[in-house]
Amino acid sequence: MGRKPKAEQEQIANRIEELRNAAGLSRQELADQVDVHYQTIGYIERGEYSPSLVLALKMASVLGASVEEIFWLDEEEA
Amino acid sequence: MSNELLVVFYILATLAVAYLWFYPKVIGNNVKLMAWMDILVTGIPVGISALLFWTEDPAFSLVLFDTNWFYFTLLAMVLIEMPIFLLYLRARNLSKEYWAMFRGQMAGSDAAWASASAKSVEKQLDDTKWDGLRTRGAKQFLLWGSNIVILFGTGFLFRVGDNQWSAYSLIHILLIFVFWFLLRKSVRLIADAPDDILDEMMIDQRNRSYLVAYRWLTAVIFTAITALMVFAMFTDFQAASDGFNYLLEFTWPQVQAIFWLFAAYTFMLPSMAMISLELKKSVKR
Repeated sequence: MGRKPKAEQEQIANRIEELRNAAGLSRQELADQVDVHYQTIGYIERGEYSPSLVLALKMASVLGASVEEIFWLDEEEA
Repeated sequence: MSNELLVVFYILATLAVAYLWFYPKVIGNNVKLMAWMDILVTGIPVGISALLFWTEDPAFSLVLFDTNWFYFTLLAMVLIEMPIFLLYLRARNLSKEYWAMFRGQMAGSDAAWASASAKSVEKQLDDTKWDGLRTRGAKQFLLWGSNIVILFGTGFLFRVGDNQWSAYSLIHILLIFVFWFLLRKSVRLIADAPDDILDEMMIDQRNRSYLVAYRWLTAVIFTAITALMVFAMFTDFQAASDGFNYLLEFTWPQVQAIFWLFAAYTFMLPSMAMISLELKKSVKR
């Protein structure tokens, strides 16, 4: 059983945009609270970048949810 | 006018342009870029001396002993520029920052190696003025254009004879700097930025770009050294070859071509690689 090729690896899906809107935060405000650039939030929301565990925990803390509630493996896309 | 005075004259002219216009207006307070550009500024009088004295190779008097045009120009440049440079740093309150950069470099600091300053990267991250350079079409143009400029210029300067077309080297250098500038703007200086100013995604993008850039640079260098090896083997089959000594003759435009081929790829490959990765990513989407 080898490692999957990069193209076939699982995508990380998330509900950051939904939770961010519910919390009344703009991308910039969320970005400021977790110490990243606002464009990075956009990349994460669109599933184009998978955040590190540290960043995921920071985002979960700001959005008031657990990491598992925010991020999950998008099996369908895999 | 003696040759020594002539050299001093164009050194002073170069320094006047550098310190009265180029450094204050173009480079500003970016000490890292200033250090890099100082190599280019020093190269100007050395290049002029090469053009004027390469063939005749007259002796230059250094009071106690004679030397050739290269060492005279270099030494005169250092002696004349040093006090001006120190005064310039003091006048703009940059002395501390400038020398701290070298101390950091010796200690292997990441920020010292980055050719973009934290301030300029911060500005570029929120910039929208240059968004025209960040479209898919513009990125493709920059990627293809910069490679065409480098490779065409290298080929042209290799073939050009001792005539007015050899002046194309100046256009070649100018085009390289223009494309380098545009490539850096397109990737918001991320490829040349220190860690401190980037977030984890940008550091990841930059690191992957350097991996790709290193692989491409390996290809460029491997091609060049293979060409050298082929030349040596080809020469071995010539009747006049002794199988041990090789004679490589270069013209001044050919030296320029080789120098700027490697310089351009060394400076530009990280930004090129970053653009290439972004283009691949946008195809997948």
